Amino acid sequence: MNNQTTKVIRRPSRLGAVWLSYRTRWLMWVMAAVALGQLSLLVRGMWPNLTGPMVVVSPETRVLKSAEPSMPNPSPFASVDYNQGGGKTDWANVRSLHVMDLNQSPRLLEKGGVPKLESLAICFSITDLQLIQLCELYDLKSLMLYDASLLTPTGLKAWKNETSLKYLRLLNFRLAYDPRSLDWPPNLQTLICDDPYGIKVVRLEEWQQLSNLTSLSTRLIPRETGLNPEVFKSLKRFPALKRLFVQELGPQYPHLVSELQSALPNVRVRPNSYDPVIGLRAGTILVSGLLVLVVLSVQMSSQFATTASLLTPGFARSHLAPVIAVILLMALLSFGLYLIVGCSVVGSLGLCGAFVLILASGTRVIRYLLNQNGTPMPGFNNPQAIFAIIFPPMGLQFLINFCGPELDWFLRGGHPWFSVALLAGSIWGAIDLCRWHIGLKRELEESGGGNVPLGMLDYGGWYNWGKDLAALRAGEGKRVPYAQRCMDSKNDRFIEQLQGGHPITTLQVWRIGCVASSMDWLRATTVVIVAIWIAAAFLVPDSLSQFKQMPAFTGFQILAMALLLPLAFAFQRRPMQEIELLRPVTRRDWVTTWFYGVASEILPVLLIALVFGEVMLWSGTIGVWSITDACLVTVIFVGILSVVFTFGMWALTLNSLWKIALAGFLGYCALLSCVITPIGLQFQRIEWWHTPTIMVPLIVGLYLAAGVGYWIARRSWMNWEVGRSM
Amino acid sequence: MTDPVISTSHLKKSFGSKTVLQDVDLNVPAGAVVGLVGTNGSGKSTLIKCLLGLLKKTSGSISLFGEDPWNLSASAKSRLGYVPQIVKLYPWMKVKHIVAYTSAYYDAWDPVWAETLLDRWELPRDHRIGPMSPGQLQKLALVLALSYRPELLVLDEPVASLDPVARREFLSSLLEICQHEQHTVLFSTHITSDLERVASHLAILKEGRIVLFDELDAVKDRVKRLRITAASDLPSNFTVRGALRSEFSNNRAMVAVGELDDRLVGELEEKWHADVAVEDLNLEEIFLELHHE
Repeated sequence: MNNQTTKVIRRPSRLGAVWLSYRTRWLMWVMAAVALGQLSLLVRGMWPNLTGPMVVVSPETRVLKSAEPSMPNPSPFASVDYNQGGGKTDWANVRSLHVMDLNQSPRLLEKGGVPKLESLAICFSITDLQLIQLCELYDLKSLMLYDASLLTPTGLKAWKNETSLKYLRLLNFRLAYDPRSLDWPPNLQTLICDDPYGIKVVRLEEWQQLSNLTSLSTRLIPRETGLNPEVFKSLKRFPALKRLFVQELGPQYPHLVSELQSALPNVRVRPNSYDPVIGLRAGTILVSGLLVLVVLSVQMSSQFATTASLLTPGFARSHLAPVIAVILLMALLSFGLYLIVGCSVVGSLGLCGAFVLILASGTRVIRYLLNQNGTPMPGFNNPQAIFAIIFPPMGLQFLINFCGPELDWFLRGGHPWFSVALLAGSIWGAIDLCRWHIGLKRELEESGGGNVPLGMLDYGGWYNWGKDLAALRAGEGKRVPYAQRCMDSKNDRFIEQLQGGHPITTLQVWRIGCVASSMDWLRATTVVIVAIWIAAAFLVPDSLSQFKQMPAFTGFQILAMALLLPLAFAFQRRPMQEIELLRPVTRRDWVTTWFYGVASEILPVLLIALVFGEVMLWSGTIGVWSITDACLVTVIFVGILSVVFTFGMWALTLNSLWKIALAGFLGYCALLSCVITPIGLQFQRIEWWHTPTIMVPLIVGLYLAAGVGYWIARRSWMNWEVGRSM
Repeated sequence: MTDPVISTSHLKKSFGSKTVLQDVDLNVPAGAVVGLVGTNGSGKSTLIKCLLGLLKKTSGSISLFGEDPWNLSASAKSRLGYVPQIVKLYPWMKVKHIVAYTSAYYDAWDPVWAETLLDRWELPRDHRIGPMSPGQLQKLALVLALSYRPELLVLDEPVASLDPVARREFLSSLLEICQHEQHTVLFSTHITSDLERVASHLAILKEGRIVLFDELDAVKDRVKRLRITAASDLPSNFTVRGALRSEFSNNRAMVAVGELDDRLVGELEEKWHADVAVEDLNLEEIFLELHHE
């Protein structure tokens, strides 16, 4: 018998082998860290108590936001805040005015003082006499009285003939609970009437006479008497009412809004205020879940893009099992977190798998763009990465800024069918993602992308070269994608220029090597801004004035992306530098051309962004600002961009993927802050904005950082070993 | 005597703690066609990239056209052509676009020659670069590198992706250029038969060091295989001076030597009362003998 011991080499199980592929990749540990971070929040319940960029409140305090329609701004170019003195205001053209105290604003009560005034907001109390005077002097379209406590039925007779008044907001209005009969402007469309004691039914009967009233907000339940069944009956008799906002009264009437909604099926009933923090926290949970899934999907792509995925027995099952497990765990974790932050069970159920739905639908959209239209994507090749990094934060911002009340209502379980649809969509998303990954290799081969390396940062892995080539062979030039045809015509013009013997600068030649220019992209997306502007200007009713900010919001987002694009385009050229550096130019000239090249791509966009920003600031679309404010924003904007540019240029020379990814992420955050800063400042007038001891060091620090960044970048480029593979 | 086009002295290149090139001394004379051979990972591409200034040397010296390649002047670069091992060109461009783009940099660009090469290698002007096969890409890169008739052509495994027909075409073009215009060529390859057809010099890189550099004919004259048949059995400590590899059994031995001379043959015949037959080696055999462990 042979006593010699034979060494047994144990093979790992299939799942063990898959685990090996996960634990040996650093990106997976990032995913785990994000998931664990979420878990720690679940365990410790630690959430920052922030309501905005700079306001910190105690955990007990809830800062609520009004859900009611805000006052329409008739002309963004002619809004004045009288409280700041008015400056050299052209009173003849002012159409919108915000005053603190009518007694301190004598011009308002003079004949011809502000002849074109349409919209007026007054902070301090107003007397009957003053109201009568105002009604005699102006044909107001909207009026907001922060303190209407001094008004009496006699004074209200004055607006009985104010046929132009469409929007009326009365705070601290003591007459709503008054049994006497009152007069109202006949053509009101929006009425917000807040009496601390509630309203009498007689008031509802008066408002029923307002045939154009579509939005009403009031305190329906009198403080002393409680819920009056007559109120329900009266509300049903409103002829044109579409939206009703009511003040919730806590535990005493926990289901008031739901009951009203059931009683008024044709009216959208909502609470008159909401807690924006819940939406913000829910969004954070959603985005972090999405990030985990993106990383997971990147790993899946690298697994399923191999030939082994088609030829190895049991490959799909063993590779999908951990994916499904992670998705389920993340959904469970998210569900718990949503509940903790204040969402209802129904809302949490709807949202718990939404990260899968977003990624799956996003992947489908981007697959369409890349594989069907052949639109080349800059920088990042992996569609999930693009989708997760850029769009969800944008969408989240959009939802919080423009659909806050509706988002809040959904989170509170107000849309159960939508929650069910979301949950079903999430299940579909998970199945779709798995199915897509299973067929990924085949899709890549069939699209001709098999020759192109599939990496997160490689150009063209998802580009349908096969279709492009087939179109060329068939002589069907029209089938070549539009974006590609644009590039071709640019290059054809370059050939003509060369053959015509026209002088060509190094910078021009450098530009030919760019896949596209940021201005091309901006031109293509201008149509989006214009469409949104038209929609906001003409289609969105004045009562939804927060939507009027959409062009500014979208415009800034698009511009921020356009500012980042030159660096992304530049990144694509990295692999070609092994040959480019050997062109007949010195290393110094090569570096200089690169810096000038990228800067020259950014500069026109920057100028457009500044003009756009200044117009928005001056127009009042995002607030009425002084010249100092506008200059400060410009200086800070340019400063942040300089830092992004210099450190971005430095990041181009890095040979480590994670450092590049980190730099890209930080750059995007910085640019996003450029976008958020002016909009955020409009919502909350922050003290430090006008504090020189803070602003001066901030600005100096920014430009110093940009200088240091330039020095580092230039040095790094001069020493860049381009022959070294990443 | 003219100065060498490429010259290195004690060149060392490290990546972190890993040394890839060590003490490399190389002098490539003008007009030489140098074949650089070595096993995978021996440092061929690193050496080429250091010579071109794409990588920074760790120590030693390098001279290209008499200049430091890290700070090569524009005029020196205009005399230099390079085709990397993995060709990466702008995938969104068409062939005609990349040709125009490259031509914009070079005053000496010869459009007629570029067109001739495109025709010879069957590269349609309207084809986009993205879907091209690696072989087509390599052909295109060669067109771009040859069209301004560079004085020094550096090619990193230029025929690795080419089919036999294209390889023959490429070698013909290379010979054409070298014969008519006295260009200097440095190319790395694994296909020694190609090297034998075109190379005037051979450089063998082994574990980051140049272990052999000479004219090809001289190398073939120096490296030989000896078949020894002794009068009696050879002892267990049988050795031959300068042997690269030796095998022996009973009274027969087969020995590869790196420096053959008449004296060595005489010595062996005399010492072992043997018949010594000298055999020529082709380049592949020389390469294998040099890398035998």
